[in-house]
Amino acid sequence: MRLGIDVGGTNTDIAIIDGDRIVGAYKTATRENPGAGVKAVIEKALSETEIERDEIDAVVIGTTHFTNAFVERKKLAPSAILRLCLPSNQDLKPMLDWPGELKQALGEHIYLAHGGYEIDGREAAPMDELQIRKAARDMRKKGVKNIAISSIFSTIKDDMEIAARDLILEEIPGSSVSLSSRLGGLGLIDRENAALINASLRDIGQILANTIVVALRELRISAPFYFSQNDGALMSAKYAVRHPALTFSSGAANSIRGAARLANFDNAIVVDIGGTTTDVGVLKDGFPRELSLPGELGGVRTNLRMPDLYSIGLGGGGIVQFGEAVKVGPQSVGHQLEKKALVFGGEVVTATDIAVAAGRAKIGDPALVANLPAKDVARADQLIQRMIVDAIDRVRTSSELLPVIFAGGGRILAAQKMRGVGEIFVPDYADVANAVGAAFAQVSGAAERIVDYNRIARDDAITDVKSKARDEAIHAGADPSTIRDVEVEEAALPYATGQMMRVRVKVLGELLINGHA
Amino acid sequence: MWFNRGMKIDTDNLDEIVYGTALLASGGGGDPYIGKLILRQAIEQYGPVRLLDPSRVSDRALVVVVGAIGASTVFLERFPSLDALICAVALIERSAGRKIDALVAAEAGGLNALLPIALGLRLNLPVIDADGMGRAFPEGQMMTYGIYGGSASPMAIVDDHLNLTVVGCDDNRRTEELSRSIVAQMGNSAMGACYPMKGKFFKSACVRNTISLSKEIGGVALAARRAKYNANDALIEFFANRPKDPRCAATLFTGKITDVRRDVGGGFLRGAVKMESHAGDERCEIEFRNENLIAQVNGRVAALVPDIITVLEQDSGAPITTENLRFGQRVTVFAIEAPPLLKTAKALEVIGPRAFGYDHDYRPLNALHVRAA
Repeated sequence: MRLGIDVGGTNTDIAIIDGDRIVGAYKTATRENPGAGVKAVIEKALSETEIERDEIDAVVIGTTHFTNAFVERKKLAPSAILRLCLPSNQDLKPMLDWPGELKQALGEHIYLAHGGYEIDGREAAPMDELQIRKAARDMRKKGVKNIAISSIFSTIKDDMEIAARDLILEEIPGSSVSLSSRLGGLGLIDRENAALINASLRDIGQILANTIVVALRELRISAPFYFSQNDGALMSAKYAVRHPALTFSSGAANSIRGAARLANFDNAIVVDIGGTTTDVGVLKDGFPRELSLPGELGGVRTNLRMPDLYSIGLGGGGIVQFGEAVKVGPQSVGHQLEKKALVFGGEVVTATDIAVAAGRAKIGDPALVANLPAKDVARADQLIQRMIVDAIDRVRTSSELLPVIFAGGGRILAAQKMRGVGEIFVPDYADVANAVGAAFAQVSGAAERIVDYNRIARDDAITDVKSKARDEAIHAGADPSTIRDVEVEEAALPYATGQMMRVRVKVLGELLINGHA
Repeated sequence: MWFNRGMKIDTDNLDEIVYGTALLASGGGGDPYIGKLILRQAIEQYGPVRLLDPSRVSDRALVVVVGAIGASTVFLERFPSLDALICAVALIERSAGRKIDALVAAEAGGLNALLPIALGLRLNLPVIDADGMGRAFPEGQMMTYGIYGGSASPMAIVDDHLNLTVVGCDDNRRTEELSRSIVAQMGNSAMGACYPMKGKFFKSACVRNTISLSKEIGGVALAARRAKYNANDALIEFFANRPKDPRCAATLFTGKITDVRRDVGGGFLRGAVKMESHAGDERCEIEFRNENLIAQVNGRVAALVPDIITVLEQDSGAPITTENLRFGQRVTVFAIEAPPLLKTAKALEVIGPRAFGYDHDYRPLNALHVRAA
């Protein structure tokens, strides 16, 4: 049996699964200490179902904890960046484009050293061991123990980043090193930023993992625990502690995968309507479609792998204004819905009230919205449906109509039939789709490399990238015998000579539990 | 004095000029982010800069073209190096036996529109408000400086390890071929200085005021977006009403990308992108070779190189480079008539549709595009 837990900003949800069956699902409020919230929600699950502690094989956690910590600049660790690039790249120093307060929070511990590769994997400049040791000693003197390392074209060859890490660990025992090649893709600044963000979160990651270990021990649960990644796949707690930035979008990714799983689709559009916003994502062959261009996080550009979401300011708590033109959201009463909405005896007209008045849902006291003019209700309801249809249309990539699955607490706003979209599904447990997604998570691995097909045969290149992705999946906890390729992508590089292609592979496997899948 | 006049570039209007150069790049020019960072850093260090109007360049001045040469994807890892550019300029000065008086851009589109400004700040040299393309093109001989009789040689090519080369060659196409091989050996990221020209010739051959045009374009588009006004319409109006050099501009299509095809070969990204209108009843196809070259709407040619064809993200209005075109993006296709200097018989031999292998004579945008009522 597996427990999937989603630690969100407001709620901590749990889903219990046995094979393909959902045994139960519960919600509790998120606590200040996320470990206490995890403990509370597991206790609730244990008391409401008849499962035994020793039946639990794995606990999988999806969380926005790190995202919030970074965006709110909370408890970020002083972190250094060592870039292996000289004699190139002296003009644009690391952290150049970071917001001032984040620079302050991390300190500007910036070191440039010799090294880096060419696009075809040739060494651009040799690494200088002494230079790196000197930088490391300086970091040690300043008391910096979280270090990010980047190097030119390290997505093609990561040997120098690894060698530099070993030198730093020798000089600063007990330090945490984050490698850019493990976190981001092509584009040195964006990848380096991903490594540095990750470095700044390592202390919080360790603390979170510790509180969960304590919570599980107190509950006498001996099963291993895992974290969900940005793509909804999972990674071992040990790997996650080293790569907290990989959890950034795990909530949204789990929601997409969970909803699709509940409705039994591999390809679908998932509309997650929360209290304040609606996120629309696409599930492609079992995984959320990823953003292909750099994104921004807390004002920092990165190319961390993230799901491609289209978000609008529509939620169950969305405030409705009847003017000349009716408006719904983006202002919302948020988690105070059960106090402020008309149907709960409050005085604010919310999107939920419209859904009740329009007969789409039975929540609270329908008599309290009986006085709303039918014309206004119809206008607001039409607007809500139009916003949803438009958001769905925006993520569509072909004329083919994919099934649409509604999830989240605000799913009651949506009509059961809509023109111009695929068939609509609202599965059971759709309000805890994120926890369901966590519980059903598989293990993934990805790798990319730039190759010249004139020099290396296409088949050899792809085989090589596949084996790298496999290694990554195994590191993350996959059972080697279950690993399969889910995506092999080749993209041409403009202006480069020869047949330069970027090859990207993603693999997927089942979680290895106690030595067996 | 030259530095009291001309378009002022400062950190607070940087986004405008970056937007404009991306729009004029016609799908080329690479990710504008790195160029923006380099220029911003230079302005923060040396202060704002004013561009030199080409009319104020003296006949006897020595003008040189500077810019980055290589693969736009490599620049994301190995950044363009101002030190290398300084060496390239020094090599040209040595071979000319005199100091350079002013710098100018190769192209008005993308990174190479911004680099000369950063270098000018660093060297305290004037940067002329002009370029050799009025947009972006893939090859060196496609600059108006060459089309109208200038020689690209001597061309200095320096990489960020400060390896130095100078190419001397009578034929501009051959110079391009040789330099491309050198740049490949340098890891597809190098800096170049070429087309050393006398002021008098330069003034007859340059495309004027294109850098300030970029800034104006960005100003119009970004202001329209802030006012929730259609930026494409604002730009069409802006181009039609320019007192000097009015141009036709048009929104050719609005829809969704349904297919992107790419082939590499010979160092270029060739391919095509297909779009379908949101109602599903109309189609558009653009063929590109690094830059967008020909746009067809419902099977009829709607715009042809050298006119500028740019695909914009529908929501943000941000120009999308050809390497970033993706299945499913919602886009508008925007076209701007090329400046007159690119449309003479002489120019069309080098940068017209036939020069890119299309069996079409050039027809200007205003003749092709019948605006729907």
